[in-house]
Amino acid sequence: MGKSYLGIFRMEFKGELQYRAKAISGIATQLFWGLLQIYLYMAFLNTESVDGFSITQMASYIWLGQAFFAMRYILMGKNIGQSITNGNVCYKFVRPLNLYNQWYSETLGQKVASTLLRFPLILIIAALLPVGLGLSAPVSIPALLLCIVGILLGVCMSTTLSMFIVWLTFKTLSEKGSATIISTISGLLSGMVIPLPMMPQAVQNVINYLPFRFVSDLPFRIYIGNVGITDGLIFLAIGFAWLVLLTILGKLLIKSALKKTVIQGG
Amino acid sequence: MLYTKYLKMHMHSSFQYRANMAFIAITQALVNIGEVLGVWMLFLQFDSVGGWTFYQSLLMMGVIYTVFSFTECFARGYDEFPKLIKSGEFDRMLIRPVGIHYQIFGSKIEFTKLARMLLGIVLSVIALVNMNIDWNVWKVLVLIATYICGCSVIFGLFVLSAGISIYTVENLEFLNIFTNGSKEVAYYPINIYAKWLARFFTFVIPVACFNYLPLSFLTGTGSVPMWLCGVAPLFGMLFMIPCIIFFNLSLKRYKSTGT
Amino acid sequence: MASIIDFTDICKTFKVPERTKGKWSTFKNFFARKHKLIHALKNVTFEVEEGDIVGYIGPNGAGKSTTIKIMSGILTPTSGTCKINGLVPWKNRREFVKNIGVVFGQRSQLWWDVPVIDSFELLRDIYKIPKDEFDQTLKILDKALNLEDLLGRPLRQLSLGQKMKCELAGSLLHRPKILFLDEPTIGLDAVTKLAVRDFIKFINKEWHTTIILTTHDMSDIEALTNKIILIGKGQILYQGSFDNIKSKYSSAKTIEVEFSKDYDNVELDGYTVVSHNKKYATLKNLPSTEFHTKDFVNQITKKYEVVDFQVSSLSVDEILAKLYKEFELSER
Repeated sequence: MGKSYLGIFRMEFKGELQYRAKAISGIATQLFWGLLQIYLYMAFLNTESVDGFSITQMASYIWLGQAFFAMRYILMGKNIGQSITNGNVCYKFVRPLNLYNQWYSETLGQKVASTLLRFPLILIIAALLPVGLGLSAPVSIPALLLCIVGILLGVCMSTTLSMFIVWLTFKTLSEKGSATIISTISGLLSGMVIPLPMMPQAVQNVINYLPFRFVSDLPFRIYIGNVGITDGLIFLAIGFAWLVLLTILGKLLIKSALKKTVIQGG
Repeated sequence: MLYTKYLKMHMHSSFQYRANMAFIAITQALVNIGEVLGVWMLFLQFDSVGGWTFYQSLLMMGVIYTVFSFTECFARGYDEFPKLIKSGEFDRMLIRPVGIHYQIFGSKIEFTKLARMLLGIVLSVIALVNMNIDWNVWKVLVLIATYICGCSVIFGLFVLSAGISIYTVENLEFLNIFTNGSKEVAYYPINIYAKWLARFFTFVIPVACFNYLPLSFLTGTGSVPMWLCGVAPLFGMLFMIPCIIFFNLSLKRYKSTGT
Repeated sequence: MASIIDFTDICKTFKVPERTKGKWSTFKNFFARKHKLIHALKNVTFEVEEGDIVGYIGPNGAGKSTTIKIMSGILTPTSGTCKINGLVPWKNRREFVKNIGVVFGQRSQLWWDVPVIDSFELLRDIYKIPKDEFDQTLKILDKALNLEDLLGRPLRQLSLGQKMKCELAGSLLHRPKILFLDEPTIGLDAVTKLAVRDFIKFINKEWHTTIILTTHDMSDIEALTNKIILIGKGQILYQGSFDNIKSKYSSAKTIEVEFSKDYDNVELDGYTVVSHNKKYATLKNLPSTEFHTKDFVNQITKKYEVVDFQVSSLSVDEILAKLYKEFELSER
């Protein structure tokens, strides 16, 4: 049973690896954005400092974000949305697979592949940049390990959240519109628009417990030492609970959306 | 006139999918509202940056949203030029007895972008009302010139990347660096950036001409002489001329190489 | 009659990136591309007279679409001269294109979501066709193609055949002197195919339109053209009437014979036995033997007891396949 989903994952993964030229140009773009953002936030942090978030830390935070950009972006797998809006999804019923799991594997495969293609080179180049502009070393080995766990949680969280785009597409029949709604909300609350440590404390106190920041913010903050090991472990547990909860919720929502589609005859 | 015909056709086409279009238009504006919220929260944490406050940044966002989406709406053909080449539609334009630029303008008009433009205008008004500007005729003229300058710089960038796309076989993502990069730096008054970056976006791509310089003129602050700030938008408009020349040269190359 | 297309010594060379293979190839290709030259057209020379219907044929990648693109002014050749309708296609673009029409078989020039008539009216404005002239032309096209029911519907609702009819009409609204048709009958059902062919003949006769046709469908060539140009690997292999080629190759016959009893061995002077199985045999005449039914019957009934036989000659497609093969062989 699990084997067929692994097969889908591998297919998508291999498919994504084909676009190497796309990856190189993506890396160049990411490097440029990284620099631009660092120079921007530098202007803010130069005039006033936020407690516990220095320019050096900010630079590392931004670079990690750029390196793992493909994973942070909440986007469902290619062709899924189209198959829903044009009704081809009906043909998928013939396969003896759970559609949620199938789409999950497809999306996860694409995310993992495009992340793996991009992140090493970005991290290496970022690490070669001078201190304050480049990526610094992690605060400690445990922090690094915890960060890796956080990233693994993040890619799953990102995929789980992406599944809500699938659900919304069923409801609105607009792939673009649905993707935009979810990715905008998640972008703001996961630190993609503005790094979360730079937001007002009162706002942070809420956002820190919402599921979105586990997509990318938490592991990077553990890496730079902005969140300590103990706090990190607690937050990872919270994130894991969110992951389980949202995955179950997503499954139920998509199941009911599918049922309606079958009744309507697609 | 032929252009009104094009306009009518696009309107007719879009209207077939009006519910979907409206939804997309609204969600696109939502993205910008998300960004505004982010910047607003940033200014809650940091009162000012480089001497500028939230409303001044908001005006800059209003300006760039307005001019960028206006240009995207009407000059979409240049923005999506690689698609025109790939679909063979560009070849088709070459066998029509109408000017190429005219046809590229007519090839795509994306009305959904107007929602963002409207948002940009609303944000501009909110910002201007809250900025306590001593208005006079010159300031009104400079403000109007700022929007025109913004449109022509963004248009120039679209034309430039359309021209470059004739040379590159694959439509490479980093061509967007120029267009989107210019857009994102313009969210803030650009003199807050490191000097070299601000210089690049003043003298190479004249983003400053519809950003920091006219803002200085409106508020009466800054180190650049006022008269220079006032005429900057007029200079910025010239940017599109070399871009168009470059595109026309690339076109010659297209005709000798094909795809 | 005067020649309307004069194509002299046209060469077209493309520089294409050469991809190296290997472990780091993507990076290598990205930073330093090697180029190689491809000679798409080599000294292509031909003439087309006004009012001709010319079939321009050749295997895929032979240089057909490059030629069409040069003739319609989309591409400039590397060397050579070309005069069409008295003008050089790649100079005075706007003046030149007023007198040509192009139909690309698989790409539409009409708008997907709006009624066909709206697209036509846009074309009217693009070509600055006076209103009464436009109405008159549309009437003629409508009559010949039965467009009436189609004009009010958006393109996306039309079938492939209906779309092609509209494409043809759309490219003729400005009554071009020359019409380029790139695979106009591809994918059409038999009835529509015949209708399209009749229409092509009709406008050729009615308006004296010169037509250049590329196709893989040999029955199109047979039904429509009075001249063919055969291109292979960027060179003109043959130009002239199609009948010449046909008669040259139609002398080769295949004869299937059925005998009344089993024969162990079948032999006949002037023929080769392709296959033989008890009661059945397939023969072919040697190039030296001219086939006459009467002589053949006389000859074979003397030796064997024949129940039935059937004679067939090469089909047009087979002739063409043979031609390509021959030219390829002679090149080696």
